[in-house]
Amino acid sequence: MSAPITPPPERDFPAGRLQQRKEQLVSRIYGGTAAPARHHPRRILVLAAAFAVAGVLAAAGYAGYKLTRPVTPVVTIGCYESDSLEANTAVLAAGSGSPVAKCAGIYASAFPNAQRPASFAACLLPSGSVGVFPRDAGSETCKNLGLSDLHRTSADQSRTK
Amino acid sequence: MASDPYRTEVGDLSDRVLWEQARKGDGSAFGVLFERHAGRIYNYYFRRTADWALAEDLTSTAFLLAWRSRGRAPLQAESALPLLFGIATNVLRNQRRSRRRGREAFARLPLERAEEPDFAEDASTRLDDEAAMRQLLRLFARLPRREQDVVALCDWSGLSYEDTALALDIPIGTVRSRLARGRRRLRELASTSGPEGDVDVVPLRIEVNEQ
Repeated sequence: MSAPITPPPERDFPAGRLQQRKEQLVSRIYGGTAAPARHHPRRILVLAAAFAVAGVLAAAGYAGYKLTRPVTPVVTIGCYESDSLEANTAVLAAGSGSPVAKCAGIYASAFPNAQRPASFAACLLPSGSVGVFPRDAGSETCKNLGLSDLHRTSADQSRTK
Repeated sequence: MASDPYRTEVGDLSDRVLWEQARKGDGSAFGVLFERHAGRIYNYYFRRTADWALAEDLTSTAFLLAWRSRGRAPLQAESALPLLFGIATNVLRNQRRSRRRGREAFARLPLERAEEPDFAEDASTRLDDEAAMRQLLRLFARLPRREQDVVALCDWSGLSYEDTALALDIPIGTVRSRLARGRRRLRELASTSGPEGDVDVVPLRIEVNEQ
């Protein structure tokens, strides 16, 4: 004699319990979200919001730093004997006043053997200090030295101030 | 009272229409689907677990998961049954975890178990059903899980090959071959087993996919 392989007949879901289960299900449904469920939408939104907030904060922090960072003061001025970064240099305290005027004022005493140039160019050195170089008329001294031009003026003009 | 020919009762709507309404957030449409198909899922679960109470819990869990996944699960057939049986089978695979989740989900909604006169009336019959089903499942559990699913859906739940293929997301040819192998194995197992066996002491075996 063999074991049965047919399951017992189907039974009804007990009527009262079916209604109870349905009410529970619908309550559960309306207790949750009414929108169609998608792939973890809330988690994705939270992550996107977190990234957005982090981005805004980083941008604001960087902008704040750029706007409020202390300016490195120029404490020295390098007065160069010729238009070369290898030339003899007289170092002056920056203080107030035009760097070109200061260098023009001390040039003759600092470099007695050199001919006093007609004009000077003030350039920004990589260190952040100012370098003042003799300038030939019409030449772009700072650019030729690979430096940016702080401003251009002539010793004669500064003398008149 | 004459019925209004221009009015369509919600209960008359097709599964496809109800499912589309449910996808838009209509819980009452989903409630109609539950009422319409809960019995089939309930009996499917009973035949997979030999436990009417567990079958009831699992049915609720399966429908809740169906609601939650409705946004990414369009109906592939006119009937919602293949989809529901597919979800029900997945729930069964993760039975332990899903049952715990289901209980948590329904824990806040107390069930009034005292009001069960209709259940009490055939309690004895249902106990007999459970004993018989446990005996059958003792053999059934020795089939590979894939064959179990196909036999339970086709032979025990009356799904067509096409609907079984949709439910399990496998080709129809695979349904046919698994069904043939499963039936043959089950017959062989039954022929070598006695009708009584140690029914009352053998624990129910359900393969649980812990992934």
